[in-house]
Amino acid sequence: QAQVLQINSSLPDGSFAHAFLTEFKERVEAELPEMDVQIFMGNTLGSEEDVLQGLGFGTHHASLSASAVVQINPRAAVFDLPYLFENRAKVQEFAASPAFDLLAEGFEGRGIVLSALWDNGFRVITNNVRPIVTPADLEGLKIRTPTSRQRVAMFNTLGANATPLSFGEVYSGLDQGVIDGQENPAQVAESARLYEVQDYMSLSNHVYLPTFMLFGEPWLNAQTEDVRDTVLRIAADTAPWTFNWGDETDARVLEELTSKIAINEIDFEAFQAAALPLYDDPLFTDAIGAEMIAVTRDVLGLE
Amino acid sequence: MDRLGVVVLWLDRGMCRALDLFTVTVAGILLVLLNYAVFSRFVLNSSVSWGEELPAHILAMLTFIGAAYLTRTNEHLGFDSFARSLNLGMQRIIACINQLLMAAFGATLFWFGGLAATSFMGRSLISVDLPLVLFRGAVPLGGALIVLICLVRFVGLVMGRINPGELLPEGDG
Amino acid sequence: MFLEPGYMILTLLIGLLLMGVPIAFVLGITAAVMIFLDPAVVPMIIGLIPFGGANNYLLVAALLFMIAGEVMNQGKIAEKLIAFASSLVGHIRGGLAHVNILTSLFFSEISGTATSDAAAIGSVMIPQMKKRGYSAAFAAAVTSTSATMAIIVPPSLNLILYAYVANASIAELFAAGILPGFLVCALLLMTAYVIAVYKGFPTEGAFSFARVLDTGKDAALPLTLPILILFGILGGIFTATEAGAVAALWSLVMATVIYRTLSWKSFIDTLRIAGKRSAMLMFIVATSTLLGWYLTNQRIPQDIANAILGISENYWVVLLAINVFFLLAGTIVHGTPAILMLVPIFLPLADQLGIDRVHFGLIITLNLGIGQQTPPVASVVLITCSIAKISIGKIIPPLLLFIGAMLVALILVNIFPAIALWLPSIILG
Ligand code: NA
Ligand code: NA
Repeated sequence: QAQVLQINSSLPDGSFAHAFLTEFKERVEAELPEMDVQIFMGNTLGSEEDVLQGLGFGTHHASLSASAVVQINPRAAVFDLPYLFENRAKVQEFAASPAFDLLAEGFEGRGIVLSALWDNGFRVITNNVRPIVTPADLEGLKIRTPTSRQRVAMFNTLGANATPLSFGEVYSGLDQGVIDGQENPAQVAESARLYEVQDYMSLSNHVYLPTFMLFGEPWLNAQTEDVRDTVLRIAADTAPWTFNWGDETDARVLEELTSKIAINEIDFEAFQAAALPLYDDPLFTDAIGAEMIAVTRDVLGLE
Repeated sequence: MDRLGVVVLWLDRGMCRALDLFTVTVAGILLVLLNYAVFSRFVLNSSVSWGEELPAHILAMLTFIGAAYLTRTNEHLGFDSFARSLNLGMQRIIACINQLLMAAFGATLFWFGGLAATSFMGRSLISVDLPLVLFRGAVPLGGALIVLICLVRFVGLVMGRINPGELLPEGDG
Repeated sequence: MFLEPGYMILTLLIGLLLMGVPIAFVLGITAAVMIFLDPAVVPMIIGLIPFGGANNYLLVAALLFMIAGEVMNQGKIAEKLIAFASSLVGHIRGGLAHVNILTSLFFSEISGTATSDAAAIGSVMIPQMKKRGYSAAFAAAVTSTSATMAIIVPPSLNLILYAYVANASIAELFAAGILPGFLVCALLLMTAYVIAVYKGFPTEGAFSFARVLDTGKDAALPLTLPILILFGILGGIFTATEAGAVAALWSLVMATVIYRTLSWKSFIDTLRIAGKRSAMLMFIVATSTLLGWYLTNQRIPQDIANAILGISENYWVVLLAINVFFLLAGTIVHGTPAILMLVPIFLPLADQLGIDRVHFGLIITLNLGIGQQTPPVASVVLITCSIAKISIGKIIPPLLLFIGAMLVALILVNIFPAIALWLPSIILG
């Protein structure tokens, strides 16, 4: 009987997640010719919430997930702490450290195994009022955020008026002035053509969010030890490839965007200072847990 | 009429009233919530965080409880012309099978929906502090009500108290 | 490979449907049977996916537009629209037929389902038309076919469902529905005129500009609803769901405060009717999502697309085949299950042929709208026949003429995608 590995992603065909999963599929099928890796983009196998729950039930095999993971493993909210990572090399340091093990431990009891962290990107702010250089420039701006309590708190703390909205509404919302701006990786601003309705892109890099390559325990347990180890190893080995891809894409996208939108650097220190209270905010500390925060800061060499 | 029959009728009426109240209330709540979200965004100049997540979950709740209500009132959409063209004896047999099949589907919703709902225990919506179980629980509850309704009808059909023609879905010609 | 589960699903669907099992259960039971029989699928999926299908913000819009349509219906707003339409087109030969069609166009901009239009307009117009010497069959046929505009012109329940299934923009679909809706309206008016001249139907007095202004004042208020809905959604000010909420509230204010035509009890009835209809629709959404999950999991839609493309890869041949298929499907299945069940199966095919998803949505909607007009499944026709107190056999001859007009619209929209796609391209860029 042919072995099947079905992987879910909420992102559409042609997205970065699609590129990562295609690379993963090729690597797995090269080493395990019997394995049929099937990629399902665009949540065609169910909503993110259902897929994550289904991993534990065995209805779903694997998923490349992002922010929704926080609902299953609150420790994943550590990535919502602002200005944690300077660059992608630091993210890989994190992934090779005890902090990663602590993060992976947070999935225990959910029937989910975290195999690797893959790239997603540093988030930048776009808006059509003014370039954001200091937090004071955010004052009164309606910035769309995902439906994430932490992201809403972050932007309200920085002085903006955080407006949670589903991504599908963002383009027209920006076009009509319902919202002034939004925050996403630069490549999203490019692929969703947000530069058509936005004047300024400020390289705030306020948050780095990875994607989480998750496997369901029931599926893993149904495989031979050899297959299990091979799949998990390939997932981990693919991670550096995705980070390189991310770095290259960032450079390419920013170059392409320079003619379409005014890009500016921000005052990092001013932003870091303004975001500092969030590190003591119970909304973050209660969700993430003191230990997770402490270990993370430790492995990243932060005070 | 025997005592059991009286109890069943009494319970049935109470259930119908409760389901009706639920349906009307939920439709009203959705109307109010969505208008408040608009009001808050345009007049108070601050978007509510639950604007999408909460209404969607309430709609899902309405779906499964409402499905049980419509099973009771026989208002689900269906295709009845072929079944109506059969003779009465055949209609009664098919109606019995239909009720059992619907009850079986209700039972799968009850069982698997119940397992799923309990697995969400302790978690709440992202945007507002309401337990997910409150909404997910509608699947097993609706499923259980469908089982009850269909089994009562099955008994009624077998005992000849219900005419099979009454149980065919809302159809066209 | 796909044929085995494919045939089994088809047999189950048809068998259960003929037995009179409600459609929502037909879809759910079929999915459950396939899932239990497939050792590779964990049955726990039944506990997850139906809820996920019903947990949908976009589809809240359907409930809210149903409330708006039902308030306009119960609040007797149709009369004001009829009076205005009468002042505009009543003087043309066959005046009441034109009034009927034009009122349907107004109403269709408020309501999302053809059945509520047919009930609201038919109950006033059909008796009037009979009194003025029109045959009951003709009156019923005009009402029934023109009510179809409700699902073409925004807001439209069918387009909302299609947007959900095809993951397409609701604003684009709504913008795309406007011109095809007007096209259907124009073709129906022409057909009615030709028949009226031939049969010598009466006119309703001379045209008077004073009357247009007078009745227009009364109709202006209800006609703010379509303006609110269209500008709100197309302008990106409201989501479709918010527009539905505001439309429902505004229609309530009109009916209770301004016109005082809606009693407290009718308001509760409105909520009940909309709540029940929404639950009926959503339960079909929930169970069809489960069956859709199984089909996707087995990659059946791709297999069907490849099988069809293996027969012909010619754009026009396949497009013709799709049209014929949906036209036939529309005669035996209601619009809701047809969109939820069949569109996911045909989308990969449309994508591979390079048919724009918005254009495809309008093609599907027009086909299903025409299918609604023919027995055996013809809810709209049945409503108008019962108002006109005639048998379904009697309505067929005049009905066929109007269906012919709608087929012309369908062919034009197929051949000229711009009829659907031009407005969204200039409004939404
Ligand atoms: Na409409
Ligand atoms: Na039909």
